[in-house]
Amino acid sequence: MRGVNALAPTMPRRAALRRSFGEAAADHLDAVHRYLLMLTADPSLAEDLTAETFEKALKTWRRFDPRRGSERTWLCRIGRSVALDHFRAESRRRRREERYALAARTEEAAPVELGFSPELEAALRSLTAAEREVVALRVVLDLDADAAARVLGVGRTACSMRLARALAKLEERMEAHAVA
Amino acid sequence: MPSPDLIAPDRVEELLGGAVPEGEEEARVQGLVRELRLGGAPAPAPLRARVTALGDETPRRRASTLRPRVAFAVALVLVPLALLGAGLAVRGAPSGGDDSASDAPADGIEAPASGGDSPDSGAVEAMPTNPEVVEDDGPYLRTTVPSPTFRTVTGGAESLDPSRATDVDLLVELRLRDADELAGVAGEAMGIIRELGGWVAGSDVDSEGREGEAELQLRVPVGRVEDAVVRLSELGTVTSQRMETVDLQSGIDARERRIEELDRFIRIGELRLESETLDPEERLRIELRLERQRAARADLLRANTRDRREAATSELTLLLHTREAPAAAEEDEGEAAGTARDALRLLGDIGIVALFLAIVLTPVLLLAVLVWLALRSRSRRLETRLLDRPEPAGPGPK
Repeated sequence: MRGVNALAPTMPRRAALRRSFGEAAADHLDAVHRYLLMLTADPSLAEDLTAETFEKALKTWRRFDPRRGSERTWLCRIGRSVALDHFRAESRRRRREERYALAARTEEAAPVELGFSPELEAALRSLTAAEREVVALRVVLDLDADAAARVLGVGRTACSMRLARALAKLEERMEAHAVA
Repeated sequence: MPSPDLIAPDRVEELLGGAVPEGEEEARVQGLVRELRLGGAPAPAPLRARVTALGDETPRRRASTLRPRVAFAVALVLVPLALLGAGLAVRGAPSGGDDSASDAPADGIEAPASGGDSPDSGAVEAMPTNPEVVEDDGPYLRTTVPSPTFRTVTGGAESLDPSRATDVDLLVELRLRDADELAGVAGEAMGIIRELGGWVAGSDVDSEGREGEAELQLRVPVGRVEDAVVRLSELGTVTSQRMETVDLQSGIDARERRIEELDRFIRIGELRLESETLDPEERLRIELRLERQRAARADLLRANTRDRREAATSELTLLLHTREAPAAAEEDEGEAAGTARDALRLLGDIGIVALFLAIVLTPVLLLAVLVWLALRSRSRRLETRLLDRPEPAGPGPK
């Protein structure tokens, strides 16, 4: 007879659902790297942040609960947190340098190598990091709206709106590039 | 910067899901999506090697150190609990109505600790936790033992040393149903005392109406005190009892020694008076001294006689009343009701402490929440500002 306990088998234990960290890392390395690459628009920084993300994930792997979200979502959240920490630290460092008039010369920004066509890369480079981020999560990594919203720490509607704006802007830049 | 034409977010969601584009703009967006999904640089080999090496490591079990947020949450729970426990400890947690012991029915009487070796007859059970008051009252050693226990007692004076003169004062308080019963018991008590060889030194019986009370001052031979207490205790519910013993023997011994000394002085004085060598002045002086010494000796003898008479009987005060003792009522209600009352009392105490904590901690918690919200909002703003430019790690906007 099916009763309330019939639901029990559909609620697997956390340990039963979890794979080894090595398997998860191998599966999601490209995705996390792509996300961080698009967020930072800096290949070497993206590499460092990706490595740092997985180091942090390894330390907290025991706390990962598959019932609360996918591995990819969890890793992207850690990646975002690591990236934001880096941006904050970098921002503070730059403010200090400006305060002491020791600002380093602004180096010519290296061309972003995101693995797309030159036109698309140029268009992506013109977007803000927040716009690139939502495109990365929703389009490149193909996360659903809820998962992406969870990574971004915003509501589902806000996430969809941000994506629509980012895509419109990207499409406009692509069109302008084609006309030029 | 011109505002780009915006495709509705819901429509974008549909296009992402593979919906057929309607119009040129949607087709371009879908093409863009397709290109984005197909492209994207894979992770470089060094990074892959680095992460793979990480994956080979066994995740180390973290030490039991708590993260700051968890530690804060734990502290938030533990500190009020500790305060609650401390509050209860200070207030004194209820423990089955011991606080009303003086009003509770007592079926027992405590033995004086000076006679600690009570026989196994169960007559006197000395409680190790009972306070005992020992006073040095001049030549007397006074021992007062209240009766916090309600166990059956068959005697309090049994442990007294019969060879020593001891004044024993007993107080027994009995609760009775009504005034009629009280009057009957008063008479019965007097009968018991007379039967045991004692007498009624005084009585005050007030049994008008339904309520009543009586006080009987009874004198009982020391050897029959045990019987008297047992028989009187059976007349009603014992709500209180107390025994006070005063050791008279030391005073008697001291007076005996003084009497012997005086006897020697008197004999010496008499011998000197018998001699013929005394002048009249000296003779008069000796006679006066002898007179004082004989008077003192007589006083001492009277005092000893009085103490011995006092020690021969015990004074037993019997108080009878019809008041409903709270603890007695509790006893009558049974164990379940007592437990319920204890639980209510405990809940009341917890409520008081919780209210105190709420009053004290609410402002602190509100402040903490406000600080947390402010920090979160600031962090969000900073985050938005950081990501609102193409290169968040690059130089900020001037």
